[in-house]
This record gives sequence, C-alpha cells and structure tokens, in this order.
Amino acid sequence: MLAFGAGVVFLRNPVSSAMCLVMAFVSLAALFVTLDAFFIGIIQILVYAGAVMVLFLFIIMLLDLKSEEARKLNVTAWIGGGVVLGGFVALLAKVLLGTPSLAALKQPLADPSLDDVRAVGFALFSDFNLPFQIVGVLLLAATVGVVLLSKKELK
Amino acid sequence: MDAAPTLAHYLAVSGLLFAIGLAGVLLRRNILIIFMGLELMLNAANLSLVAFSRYHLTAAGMPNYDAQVLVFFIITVAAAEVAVGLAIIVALFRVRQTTHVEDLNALKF
Repeated sequence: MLAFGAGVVFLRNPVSSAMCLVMAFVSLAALFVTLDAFFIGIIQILVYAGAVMVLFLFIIMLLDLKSEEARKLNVTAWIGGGVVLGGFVALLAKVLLGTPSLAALKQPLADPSLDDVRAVGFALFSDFNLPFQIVGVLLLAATVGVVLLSKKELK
Repeated sequence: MDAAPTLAHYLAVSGLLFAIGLAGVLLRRNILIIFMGLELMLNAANLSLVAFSRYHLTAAGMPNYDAQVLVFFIITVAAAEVAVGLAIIVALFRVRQTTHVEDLNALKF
C-alpha cells in the first residue's frame, strides 16, 4: 500500500498516479477489514475507490493532462519538503518506539460475529444524530456549490 | 508471519501514508496531484482512528464505535470536498488553461 502511495506522488503521468491511488485505497480497505471494521472498509471501497476516483479520472480526461516532463525542479521546495518530511518521520519513529503501551496486542472481541453496521448505525442515530444531520446539510450545500461552480459563466 | 500486528504497526503505516501524502502536497506542482496527496492524508487519519477503535475495546469487549462514526463523517466530508475542489479546478482550468500551481501567481508578492 505504501508503494502505491509513493507511486501517487512520484509518478509523472497523472493517470498512473490516479491508478496508484485506487490501489492504495483498496489496500487501505483491506487493512480496515483486518481491523474488524467491515462497514468502514466497504464504505471506503464504495466512496473512495468508486465515486472519488471516477471524479478524478473524469477530470483528468476532461482537462486532457499530458504527462509533465522536463519541468525544472524547484530546489528550494524539494529541500524544504525534505526537511519537513524528515522531521515528521523522525518524530513519528520517536513516538512509536518510545511509547511501550502502543505495543499492545489485539485483544479478541467478546462477540466475534459482530454486526458492525448495526452498531455504527445505532451510534449514528443516537449519540451523533445532530452531526449526522449537519453532514446532510453540508452535502446539500456541496452539491449546490458544485453545480453553481460548473456553470458556463459565473455571474 | 508469526508476529501479530500491534497497534504500533498500524500507526506506523498510518504515519508513513500521511508522510507520503504530505510529500505529494509539498513536492508536486500539479494541483491534481496535490489534491490526491490531500486524500492520502485524510485516509491516513482514518486508518489510525480505526486502529485505535479496534485496540481500545469498550467494557463490553467490543470496538469503540465512536471512532468509526467519526471516520464515517470524515469520508463524507472528504467526498464533498473532492467534488467542490475538482469543480474549482475545472473552473480554474477554463480561465487559466493550466493546472500548475507555479503558473498561478496572481497573488504573488
């Protein structure tokens, strides 16, 4: 999965990047399933590998992007990015290696035949009902905004 | 493989995925690839949330579903964000005929 993720960043052609992104999302869904989060895994496949990637590929097709060759490298940006990334990875390694409680093994579930769709849905409609409705309004606003943005001439 | 994955393994994968997404945002100059890097970072956050949910069991011995609800919200918001962002990119491309961030220097000092 990390290889595909690196492919997204380092491949020159936007179409190969998008294909690597699909594979990264699918393998991430597999990781969710190993964590007994079946609902999230299926949502990941449906929303990301399905809808979002179709949008990405559609936009790439629409804009007719060519593979970018021979753009000169921005040395300052690469050095700055390298410094930020190195610091981040070093900090990550320090935290992960320096916190012994993170080495906990996976405890077995009390009920192995879990129906997590029911559990997530129950939490969604009881404890998180207000955020759920706000997200609905957000999606409506996003839909209206996208339609407005895609009109031919903006007034 | 005999060693069962621990929480630290999942968090390491999540952190590295976040680092890759950050590299995409920082190093690439194509605005579409920057967008893909953003998606990778959001997914890395999701992975660590689900890992914590699985390893931090409730008293009943079940995963903590609050984290999974939060992941559900993140996925929803990310989908909306992708739609709006790509619409903005298309509008930008109509006006400027480019997706390179270095060609968009109207606000540069």
